[in-house]
Amino acid sequence: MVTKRPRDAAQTRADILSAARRRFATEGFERTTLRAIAADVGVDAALVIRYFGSKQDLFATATEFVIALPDLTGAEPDHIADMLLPRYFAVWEDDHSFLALLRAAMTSRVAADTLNETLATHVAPTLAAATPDNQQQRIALTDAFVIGLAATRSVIGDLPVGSLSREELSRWAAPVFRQLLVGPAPS
Amino acid sequence: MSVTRPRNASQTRADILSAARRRFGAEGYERTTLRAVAADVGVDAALVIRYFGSKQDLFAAAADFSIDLPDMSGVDPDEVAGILLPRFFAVWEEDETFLALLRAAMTSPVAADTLRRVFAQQVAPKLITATPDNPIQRIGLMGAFVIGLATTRYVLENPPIATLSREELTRWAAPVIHQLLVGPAP
Repeated sequence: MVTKRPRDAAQTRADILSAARRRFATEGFERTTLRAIAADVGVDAALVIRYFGSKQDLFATATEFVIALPDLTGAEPDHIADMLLPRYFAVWEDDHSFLALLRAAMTSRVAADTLNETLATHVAPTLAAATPDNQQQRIALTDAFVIGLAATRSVIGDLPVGSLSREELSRWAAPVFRQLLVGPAPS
Repeated sequence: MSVTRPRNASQTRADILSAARRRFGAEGYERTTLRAVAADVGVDAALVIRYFGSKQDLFAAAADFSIDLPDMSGVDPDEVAGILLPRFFAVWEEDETFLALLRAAMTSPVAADTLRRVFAQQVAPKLITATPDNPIQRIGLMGAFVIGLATTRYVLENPPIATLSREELTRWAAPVIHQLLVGPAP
């Protein structure tokens, strides 16, 4: 084995993470092995362990995504969708970690729990700042709407919603965000 | 191997289909093998192939389900959500095929095709009868909302939504469905 220079190590780490996302997305968490990921990259499984630790650790790193939501405190109700959607688009359409996690979560308890945990710690507090009451219901249905948009636009594909431009989608999603987050509580 | 009588054959077919739905539902399309489905029923994989053809054909047969949505023409707009939601709950909770298809559709192009076909042939034409204008936008976002509810409540089992009662979920989902299908165009 040749000694790798730092630059190669960084490339190898990146390659391992992409291979891991592909494997976790198509095979789920349980079926994916460190050995298979290592083989995809042409390295030894021991190297994967040295870089990332256990399969659980590698999964956490490979599917960690950043969602930067704006502060919604005092936001104009009609502007909430325009404030949120560009951040959501960035995650659905440009972040392979999120899509790998969503795919894996469809068949894996570990992955689903990771996604639920992310929603609870990184998304719920932001949405909560906008809600006047019934926080659980408002956040739960907003998350459902957002995950549904992500799934139908970026994962399943070729459904009618996928043919809408971002602007058109935002226009139609706006009343839904407004109703769910700040609209009158249904009787 | 003993010769099976016709009655046993149809029972075996039915057993294979329900084993396939369980496997596709729990493991997704790619990971499910004909061998595992056959083993669940106690038959040989060759028999599954003889009855159903390829894995893709078996999936199409297992996922061949119907969503019973009514024609919505002339329905009072305020009643649209109340008519649709019980039908959706029936599909989500009483027909394991739908969740199998939904799980598989996120990783398998074959399953995604089947889901799109069900949506295009059985769901969209009925929902469109309720819409006053902008059918693509209304049906598109409605489909996303319904898939999102099913995904978060039944597949991810995300606690905030999974712990809501049916009544509570219906109460909060109804204004959204109303807005998307029959509300004023934004």
